[in-house]
Amino acid sequence: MRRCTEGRKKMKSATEGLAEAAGKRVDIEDRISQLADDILISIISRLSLREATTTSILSSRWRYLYAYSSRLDFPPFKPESSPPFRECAEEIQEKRFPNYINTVNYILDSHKGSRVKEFRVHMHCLEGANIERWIEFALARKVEIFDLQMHYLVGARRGHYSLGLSNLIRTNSGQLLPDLKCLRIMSLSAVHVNDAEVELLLSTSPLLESLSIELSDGLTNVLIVGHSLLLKHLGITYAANLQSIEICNMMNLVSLRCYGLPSTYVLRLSNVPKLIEFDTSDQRGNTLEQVLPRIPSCILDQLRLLKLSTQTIFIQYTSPTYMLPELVNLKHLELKVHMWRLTDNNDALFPLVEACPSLEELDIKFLWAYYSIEFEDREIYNFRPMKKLSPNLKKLKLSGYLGSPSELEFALFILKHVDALQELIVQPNSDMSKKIQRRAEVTHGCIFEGEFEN
Amino acid sequence: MVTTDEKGPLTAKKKSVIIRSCDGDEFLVSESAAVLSTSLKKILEEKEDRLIHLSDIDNKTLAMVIAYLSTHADDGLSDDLKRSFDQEFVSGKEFDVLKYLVLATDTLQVTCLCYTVAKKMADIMKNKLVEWVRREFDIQNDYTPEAEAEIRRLDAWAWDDRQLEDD
Repeated sequence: MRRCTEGRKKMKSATEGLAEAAGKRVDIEDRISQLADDILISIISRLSLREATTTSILSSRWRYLYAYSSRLDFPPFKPESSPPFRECAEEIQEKRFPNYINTVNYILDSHKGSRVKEFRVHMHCLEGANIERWIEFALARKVEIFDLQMHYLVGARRGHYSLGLSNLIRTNSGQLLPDLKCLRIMSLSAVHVNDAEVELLLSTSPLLESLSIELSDGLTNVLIVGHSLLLKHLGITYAANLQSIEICNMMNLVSLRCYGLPSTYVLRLSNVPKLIEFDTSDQRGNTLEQVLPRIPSCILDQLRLLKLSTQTIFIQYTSPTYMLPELVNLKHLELKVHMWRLTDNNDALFPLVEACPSLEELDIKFLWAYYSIEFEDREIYNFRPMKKLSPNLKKLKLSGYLGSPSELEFALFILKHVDALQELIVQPNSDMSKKIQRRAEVTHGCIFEGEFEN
Repeated sequence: MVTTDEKGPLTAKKKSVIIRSCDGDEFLVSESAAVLSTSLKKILEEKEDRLIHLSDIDNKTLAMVIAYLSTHADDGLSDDLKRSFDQEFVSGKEFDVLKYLVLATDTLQVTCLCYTVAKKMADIMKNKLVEWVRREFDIQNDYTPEAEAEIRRLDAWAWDDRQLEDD
């Protein structure tokens, strides 16, 4: 197709009105640079912050456009750790972290835009960052996505950071600022938030869809109530002082994540009609009989996706009378199974799979504790056939697979007893010595041979 | 779905508009589709003329924009279908094509498509060198070497991988 070179070089009177309306000049080659700022900024805002910043070198038209970018996703602070570790932690703390913080502050100082839709910082939780200022900066620019994740660094002094929300939104002569009106996603890690702030956040952010609070010591009794709230996804994890979470009349809540919480905490749910996903996948060291009763019984019938972690200890051994709850509508089960000994059996998992008659997808991740130990070969057990296992199970995924007898038996058993299975994925454990890896590969082959025979 | 009608009957039906590209070809477009462009809407409000010349939009680009407008003016299509149309619309298109599209949609003030195309362009620009962007965008570098060096110095963090790491 012929390009319209004439039009590009010279304006025609026929479209004068049109061109005027759009404020266009087409008499020079560099038409892209004549686009409205908004469009160029929307292009820039899609680039990574680093790339966005380097557009200033293109030409003088582009010199300061990056400073209006609506997306501030700072490159994560991930200094490569090289031994000796203690010196490394010190260097990170004394030099590299302050440099990073200075750069973030410099970028915020040079920012010119009135809107920041997305603000993301992922870094270590060390002293010296003025995160209150960052939060204020983002809220003042009507942020939609605020994501501040901090990770503890072993061997370094931890920073202690709080959200301080009540101070922030009452600064303007006691009036609530409209800053939280645009907030859609808020994700905080190692930023202490208290119970009142959670309520304040929910009551002043009508558009909030997703809230995740991790590693907050400030939470004790969290109360989340509201018919009109849009909140779909809620996560409260690793809250060391948590005593209870109460959620009621949350008509839009779809998924809930609760893990890393004190064993005494209580979860109360009522009137959460859309809640179909529950994730307690990082509750370490618990057996199924400890984990399952923690799921409020009122949602058992409505769950579609369940993420759990468990030990392999026989449920029958610890409590022979324990009855597994039936999960009638569960379609997708994701399990993290902590394997401590090579002789561990996964038999305990079968009653769980049996308790999910609608199950379509089973995803098991084996987490090995002592994977450097040689396997002792032992005979493969023959499980007694049970009642029909999940007749709709179509997909089985085994990851972290090491090739221990129990893993192999589990896979073979499912293959033998589930007719509907269409897809089997086995991901050998990648975090282990070559010899063990070889073992995993060989038995991984056994599964597929087994499948072939059927 | 697409109601472009190149060199079709020029007897403009009621509620239809004829749009002529800079190549001289004419497209018959329903008025409901045309008014999704803010610029075209203004013109139609101001004059009775059902023939609109667009002297800086070529055939190929205009046909694409009209296909987009017609799809979005179709009340029979669900929002989901329109969204997936938008995704397909920009996928696989070359940077050069997108460049003319973004200019055309900017001129015609089809804001939604303009931003969709801009996003796609940004996706292609990712991990490209400055020289590539200058060439593809026809951007004339008007900096002196000294000015360029100064910019690199001021925003050194973006040019120097050591201060901020990303993947």
